[in-house]
Amino acid sequence: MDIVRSLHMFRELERLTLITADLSIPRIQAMALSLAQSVPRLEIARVEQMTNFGDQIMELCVIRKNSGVDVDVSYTDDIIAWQDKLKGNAERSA
Amino acid sequence: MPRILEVMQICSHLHTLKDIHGFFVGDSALVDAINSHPAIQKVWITHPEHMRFPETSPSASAVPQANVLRKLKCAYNPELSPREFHETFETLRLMLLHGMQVDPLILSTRLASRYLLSPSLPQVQALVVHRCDQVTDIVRQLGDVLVAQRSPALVGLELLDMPQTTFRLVHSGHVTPPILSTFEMGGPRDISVFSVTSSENGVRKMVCRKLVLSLALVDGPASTNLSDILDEISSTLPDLKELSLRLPSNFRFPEVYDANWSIVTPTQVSAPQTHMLQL
Repeated sequence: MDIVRSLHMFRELERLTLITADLSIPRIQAMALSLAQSVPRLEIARVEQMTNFGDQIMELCVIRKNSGVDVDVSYTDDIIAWQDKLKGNAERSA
Repeated sequence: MPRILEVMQICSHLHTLKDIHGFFVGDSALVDAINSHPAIQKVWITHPEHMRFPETSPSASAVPQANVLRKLKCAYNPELSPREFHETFETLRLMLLHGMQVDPLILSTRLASRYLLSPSLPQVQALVVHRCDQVTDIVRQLGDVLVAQRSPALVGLELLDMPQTTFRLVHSGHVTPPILSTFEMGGPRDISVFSVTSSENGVRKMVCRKLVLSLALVDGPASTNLSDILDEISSTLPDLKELSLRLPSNFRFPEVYDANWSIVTPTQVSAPQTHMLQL
């Protein structure tokens, strides 16, 4: 699904929330930059992770567009801890 | 994620609709959510077939109706003949007219127009109907309507001609772009759309409020055309300001963009590099 390309079509979009299971920071960064370049009015995008605990939402990062194509991606402690945990599990498995 | 949680999330949106007193029962997965939802005080049954929860949930037959309809104190007997069904409604109507507490009200679309048009039914604060194309008169009377129906092509055309009415459209069934086209025909309004679509493997929902749209898809065949749906939405709602998109759990953002896309240069992104980790 080429949804990032589809999101480019929302030319008036100012705020975007993406709830995803994709916790890859590089991919999120790439998506954020692509959107910042292509959606001129986008001011803020939030990436959230749906948890397994009802309707709680874990905010992963907030993407704020500064100027031009410059974007600031700030990550919450949640995603960092989550990835550290996954990394630790992977290292132990190896 | 268990399917019921999906439904709970949809119901959580209902908290924002303070005057909701009923909810469409067309999917047994909604049952627990309805029963536990404090804002839902009454349940209107829109059509006898929904009492049987036929095809929407494989576990439907395993759910005792008494539990399913805990908030339905005056349950409809699906074995009733059409005449008995009429009589039941007539009894309910008379009870309401005489100020008796009837909780909830069982409703079918065709009978609704016959029995519920009277403005002297103060207990009817919200109405759940199965097909909005049959109940525009009721909409004008009540002004606060939940519409539950399975054919999105039928939604909205008449309702959007009534600008003074706040519509809460509850859609159960397959969600396709034409539903947005019908909204667009009427221009932006205070429209809330709660949509539940059952598919083989999950539920997807769509929420549209003015030009704020939230769409969620989970795994399953129905989610494979997410890109097409987004393309349709962007062309239908070109002024969309806010978008909330829940992606399928198996969705991964692309890592490499082709030449027609924006060139991605990681150094352009200010992010804590120490936390860069490819999962």
